[in-house]
Amino acid sequence: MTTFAIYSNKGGVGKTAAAVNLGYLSAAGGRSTLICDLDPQAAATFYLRVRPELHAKAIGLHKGSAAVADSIKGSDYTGLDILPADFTHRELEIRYSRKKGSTRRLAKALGELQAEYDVVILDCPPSIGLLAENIFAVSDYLLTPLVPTTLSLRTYAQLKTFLREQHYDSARFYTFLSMVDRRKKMHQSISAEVQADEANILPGAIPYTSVIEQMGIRREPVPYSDPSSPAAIAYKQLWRGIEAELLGEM
Amino acid sequence: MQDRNAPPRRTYTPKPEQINALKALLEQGDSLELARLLGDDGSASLFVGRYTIRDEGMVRETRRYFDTFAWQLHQAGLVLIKSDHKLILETLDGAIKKRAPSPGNFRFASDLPAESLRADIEELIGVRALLEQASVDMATRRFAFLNEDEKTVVRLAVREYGPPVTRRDGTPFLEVFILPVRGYKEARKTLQQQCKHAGLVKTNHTPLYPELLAQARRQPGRYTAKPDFDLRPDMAGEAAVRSVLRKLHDVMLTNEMGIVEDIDTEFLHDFRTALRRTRSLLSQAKGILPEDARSDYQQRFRALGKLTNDLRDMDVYLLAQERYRAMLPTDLQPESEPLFDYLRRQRTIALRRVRNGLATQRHARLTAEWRDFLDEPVSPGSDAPQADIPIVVLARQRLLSQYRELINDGNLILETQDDTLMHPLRIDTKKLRYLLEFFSDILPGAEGAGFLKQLKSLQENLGEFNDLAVQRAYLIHVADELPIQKRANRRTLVVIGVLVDQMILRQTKVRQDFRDIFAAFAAPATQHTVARLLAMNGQTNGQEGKA
Repeated sequence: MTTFAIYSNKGGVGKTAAAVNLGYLSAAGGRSTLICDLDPQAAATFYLRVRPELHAKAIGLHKGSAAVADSIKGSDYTGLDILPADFTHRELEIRYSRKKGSTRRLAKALGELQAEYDVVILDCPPSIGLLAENIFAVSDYLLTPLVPTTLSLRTYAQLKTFLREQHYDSARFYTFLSMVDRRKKMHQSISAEVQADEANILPGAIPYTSVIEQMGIRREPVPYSDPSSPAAIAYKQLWRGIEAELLGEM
Repeated sequence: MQDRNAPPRRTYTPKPEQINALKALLEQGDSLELARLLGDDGSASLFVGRYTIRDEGMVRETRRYFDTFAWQLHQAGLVLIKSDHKLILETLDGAIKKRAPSPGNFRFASDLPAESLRADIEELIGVRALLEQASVDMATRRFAFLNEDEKTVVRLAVREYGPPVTRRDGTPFLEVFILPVRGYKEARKTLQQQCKHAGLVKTNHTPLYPELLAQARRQPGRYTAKPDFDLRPDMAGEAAVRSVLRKLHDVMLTNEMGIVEDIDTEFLHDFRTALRRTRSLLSQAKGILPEDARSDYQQRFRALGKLTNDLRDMDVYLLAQERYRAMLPTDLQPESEPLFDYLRRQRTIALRRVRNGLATQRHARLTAEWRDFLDEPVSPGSDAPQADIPIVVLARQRLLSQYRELINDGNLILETQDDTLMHPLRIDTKKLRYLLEFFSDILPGAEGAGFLKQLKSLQENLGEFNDLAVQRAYLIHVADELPIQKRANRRTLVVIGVLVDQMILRQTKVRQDFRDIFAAFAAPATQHTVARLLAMNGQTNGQEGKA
């Protein structure tokens, strides 16, 4: 019953890989887990070999969670389900804006599902508008991947300002290092800096490696397909950190 | 294996002629063989071009079923199962209630992982140990049915239990089940049709646990620390008393092994309760049992009680560890360790003494002679004048006089303010309580009218007062014993000081409460009710004339 949004206002920072790999680790640890793919590009759905399509009635993720629940598919892994993406997700922002109580539409649509699972992980598209507000309203914690480059740091700072303006409780905002290339000096120095300065930084720096890129070919979570790879180890470290810091004992 | 959010699985039983083929399938995992078994002859198959079957391999695991000596989980309709990877709290009909990752070894609820599972079990079993009641080996092979995206859309599993588990007709315990994947209804339906087509018989999933218990000749729920005494009002006094004592002795015998093996603290607790009831009844049985024997056993059981006192005291202290710690300010809490170490050492010594005591010839003689005494036919020429009086009459007399004694002793405390009389008063309440328990069948009204509730709260009040007094004295004794040269121990003395202080505070409060609780108990209205209830019962049972 804890909802995490893997969220960033920037694309290509490793959100989907994190959502799928953390979702897998959560389920493997005995927690019933649901990944909600909110990204119209449907990468998480694809990684789990599911067709990106929702029940006709569930389109737009409105209230009336029966149709949404009926759209859920079991993954190939015990305890891990996915609410697939749908191409119509690209219109979520517009659909929500037309409704009353427009910042809580997603919360209403996912309400009952959150009670059904121990952990819900939202794979979010890079948005900073109404959809983002909906995501904040439904999540217990935001987990933001941070690539250690100057440009990313800037976007990250913008995000923090935005969250402050939204009166989002900073205690619910966590970050972790993503796509860290150890061969690059800049990555190394920025990583060290962030780890020293950021209050809510989680352990486990996800490396920039081909195993993660190959998820699109193998269509399996890395800790499943290649459990001893540095990437798998980093995800495990990250998940243990989340468990210890945010979930507590099961 | 089953997902909490997945649709329920469906179980099938093979026909006798299918068993060999399924066993081969389980051993070898040949997907083509499975297709053939499901009736896929390559022509009219429901599967052709739709699904590919992938063998996911075979897993062997042992399931161990846990419950306490008193079958407390079973009584709540549950069992705790440990398999190689997880812990499952299941209902007796096989529905999963809670699950958690499996810990290493566990004995008590407090050793279990996962807060909610632990809390559920702790509530049911308290401080009792979890014992393995049954176990079964099982081999399971799963086959995944993949769609064109190579996505698993349904699974079929073949599982064999045992050996030595077999069905009642002697055939191996083999099951086939369909494990649906959420959101893929069509694939599940197709596979169900195919299983039907193959002649597999749909069955309700038969929970294995009752079967295993039956095969191991275990009968859950037979133990109780509070047996039914099943007395009839017209039973002769001596026969009735012997019958109650026999049941109490059964409880003692049942618990002896658990004490010696040190399984959990409840064995000693139940043993001592039965022992105290025995002694209490013996003391009330003057004139009912032959006097020589009565006073002889009274002596011998007192000695047995004395033998176990220290061990029970240590159990009580150690069980209350958390409560003691909570009485301390946070910075002093770690300093209490030497105290608990000391108590643990004392417990080891006390346990050794009890073990030795229970292994003596003397104890064996007491057990055998007591049994013989209880079983021997009631001699007509008994020297006990009340031996033949109906038990209902004796019970009423004893209850009334015990109640009056209690009232008198309590009043004396209120008058004299003499706290040394609190302990004897506590013994009075226990005696009364036991009498009520022994005779609840023949004097059903005596427990009514809120009387029992009042008695219980008085007992609790006196019990707490007494415990505080004894524990306080003991802590001061420990302070004498701890070697003062050790630095760590000096701080422990501070801990003892704080605990003693807290106990004094609490004891003052308990003592104040006593006045009101006892006043309610001794109120003329209550006295009147009790007298009436006891008298009335005699009449309704038509025993007045026989007295």
